[in-house]
Amino acid sequence: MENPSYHLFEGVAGNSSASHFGKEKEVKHVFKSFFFVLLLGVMISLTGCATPIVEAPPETVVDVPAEQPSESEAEPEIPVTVLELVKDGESVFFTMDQLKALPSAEGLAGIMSSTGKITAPAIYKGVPVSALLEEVGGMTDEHSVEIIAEDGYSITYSPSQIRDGEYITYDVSSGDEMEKIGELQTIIAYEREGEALDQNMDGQLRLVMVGESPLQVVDGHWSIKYVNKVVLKEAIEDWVVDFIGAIDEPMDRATFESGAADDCHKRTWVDEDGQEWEGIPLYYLIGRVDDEVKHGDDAYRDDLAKAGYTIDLVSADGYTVTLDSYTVMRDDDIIVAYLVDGEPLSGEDFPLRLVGPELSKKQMVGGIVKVQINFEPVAEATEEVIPEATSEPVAGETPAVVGPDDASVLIKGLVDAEKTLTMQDLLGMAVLNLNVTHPKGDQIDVTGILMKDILAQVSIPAEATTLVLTASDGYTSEVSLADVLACETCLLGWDEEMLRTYMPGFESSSWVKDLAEIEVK
Amino acid sequence: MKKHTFLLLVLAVVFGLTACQPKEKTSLVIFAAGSLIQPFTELEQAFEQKYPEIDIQAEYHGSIQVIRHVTELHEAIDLVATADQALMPMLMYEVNVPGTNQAYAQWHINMATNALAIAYHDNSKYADELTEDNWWEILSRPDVKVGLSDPRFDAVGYRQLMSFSLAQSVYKNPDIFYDFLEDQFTYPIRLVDMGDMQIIRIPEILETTKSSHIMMRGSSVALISLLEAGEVDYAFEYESVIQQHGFRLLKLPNSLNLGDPSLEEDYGKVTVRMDFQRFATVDPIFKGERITYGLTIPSNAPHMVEALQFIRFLYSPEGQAIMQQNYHPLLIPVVVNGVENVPDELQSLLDLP
Repeated sequence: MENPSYHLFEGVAGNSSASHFGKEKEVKHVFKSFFFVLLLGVMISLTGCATPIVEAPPETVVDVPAEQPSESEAEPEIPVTVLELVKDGESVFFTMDQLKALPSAEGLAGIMSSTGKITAPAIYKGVPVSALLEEVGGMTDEHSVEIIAEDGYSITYSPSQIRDGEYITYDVSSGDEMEKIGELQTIIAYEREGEALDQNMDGQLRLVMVGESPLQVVDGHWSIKYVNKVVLKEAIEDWVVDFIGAIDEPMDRATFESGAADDCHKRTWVDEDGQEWEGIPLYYLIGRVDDEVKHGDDAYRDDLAKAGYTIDLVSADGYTVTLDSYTVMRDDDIIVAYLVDGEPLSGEDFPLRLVGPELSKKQMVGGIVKVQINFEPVAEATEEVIPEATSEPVAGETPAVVGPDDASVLIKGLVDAEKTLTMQDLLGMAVLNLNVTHPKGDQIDVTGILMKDILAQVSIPAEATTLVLTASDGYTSEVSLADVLACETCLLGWDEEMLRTYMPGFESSSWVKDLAEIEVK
Repeated sequence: MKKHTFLLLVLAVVFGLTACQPKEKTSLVIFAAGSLIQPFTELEQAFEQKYPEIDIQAEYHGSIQVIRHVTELHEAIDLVATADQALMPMLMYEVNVPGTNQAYAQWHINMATNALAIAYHDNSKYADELTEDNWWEILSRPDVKVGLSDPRFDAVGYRQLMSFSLAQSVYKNPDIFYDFLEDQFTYPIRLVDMGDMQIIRIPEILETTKSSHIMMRGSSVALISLLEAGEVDYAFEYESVIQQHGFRLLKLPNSLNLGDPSLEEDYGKVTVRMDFQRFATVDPIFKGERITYGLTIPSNAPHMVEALQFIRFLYSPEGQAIMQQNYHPLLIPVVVNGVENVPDELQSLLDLP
């Protein structure tokens, strides 16, 4: 039996061939007739209605296998998995049939988008997430559940959401919040209204919250489409470790993790068992508390480390490891770790452990709860700290500028005796002409006496911690005594009009103009 | 032969009748930020009245979701408008349309700005005490119900936290952030002091405690009904949205409202970082910056001509007036990113006075 369309097509195709099948005339006639009526149809359409907007139909490409294998040659069908369930880094894969074999739940689920658009409840059927999790031991209060879609979109759910269906519900008609009607269950749905999910709309699996009422919906962002992965993981456990130095800082998990980010101070080390430890070099953490400057290039004080101090790392059971500042100084391989093989530390190591290739196992203290700097020179002082002058006898440079004759500064407070230094007294000390950097970035030439030489003019007891710098107009600024004593470029200086402090490395607020008093506290 | 002719005549008539069906309108699909619902709904009505052959189909989502529909779900969308223009270069310039070497976008218009503010009503507790200088203290009182949008899902959500962080330096009070947020969530939101930078860390589970005086919702739009019902006393919203709904409005200082272009550097001192990866292509870090809405046409938009037509309408006197009436004026003169790639049809916008 001949196929007419085949004939027609073949005739057109063979038009250039004069005698193909000997039917050229008939074919030509039919062809002419076809074009005539086609033209007629187009004319009817053009005259019978308004100008149509004709869009080209989408191109369809159909892949036709070159050769179909016979049934006997067909490979046995490999089951297609639709869901991966992960716990502790191990995965279990489910086919659709396997999912359907698990306990199921059915109910009404609808959503309201973030802008109030409501999709009315429909009947969904699927496996409750809590039942799915039983396949890997079940969920506890210490777990959370991350649901991941094919495109990588993910949201983490709490135990109260997964187990108790704790979601805010909205009135399906008004969108107003309402009391939840009945219970809600979080399920991974594979059916909607008795049919498999629309793969284009929902994917093969969709997370929905089903209940008994058609009158309520939940926030749409909880209802993830295209679900293909569920991860059961430990809920985030918060912690705080005390870092104690010139200042005290209770460092929490978030702060530590920020410092350990890829673009910050992250450092890793692989031990002999192949475990990768990840954290922050200890000296960076020390830099947060060795003075008031917590972050940035100047945070870590090399001068203090060179002067010598010790660091105690104390675990929860009181075990203490002490390192000296020379060992730790700028050493990227002494690491305070918070992850091992990408997971938070657990057991006795939680939350932080000291690790690194240069440390003995005894030194690798875990369960750290406190890190303390012992500034030994200060701690070992008995009665008083007497800062040493930098040069003896006094033999300074020729001052580049001389201050007003009547300028003077009073040193008072926790000192053996108040002392006033006049301009003449200052010029008799070790004068320096320096080029220093102002906090705003300007390089400036200054003249004056090192602050520690100034403080060496009085006796200061060990308990003193602070200097209060006061200007003649009453302005005050407080600075750390230890920092000032350690500063090699901080000056009590002057210009032609007044005394002032030049404090490189300190905030601009401590650069006091028209200085009148220094109080030791 | 007669059979053939008859058959073909029937075909012709059927063809002709089929073509006489009512003309289908061209659908123009617009995805926009939720805070644009009101002005864009009015624009839709005015545009469709002027161009009856075009049917606008608008959907409103959080700004990140708007772009996700284009670049990750690969939906056919003709025009996108987000409340954060920075998302466009970050997500659309860098990602190619599958199977092509063409980015999803190479230009966008900085369409409008906005400012964060506090919405409240006559019955809000301590409403008569509220000022620009004490709002944070009043909002921290345990008997005051405060509506917050979830920073995991909503730009207002993370921007309101930025305001609290910035407030600490503006009011010279280091306790403002925690006075408001401490003990309000089962897993806390943290403010990390990095010296020259403040980082706000958002945990992946964010649930209020049972005793919390904060009511958190998925979006700032969801807080509107809570305000209307008096369920909350105060909520952070965009100024335009507050005015559109007729709530009382407390303006925040420019240094906190993220609306002043001259303070961009100060805004940048705070960053919100999610402790989790929500989108495969979105780095979950949001830097403080001036609020600027972005508008573009995806390069794979099915109805490019109509999308251009809509933008020209938006910038026409009629379109500008609609935005103005909705307290959301367009930024004029027009500022364009990737000006060399702007379609010729929009070049005239660049000359708007």
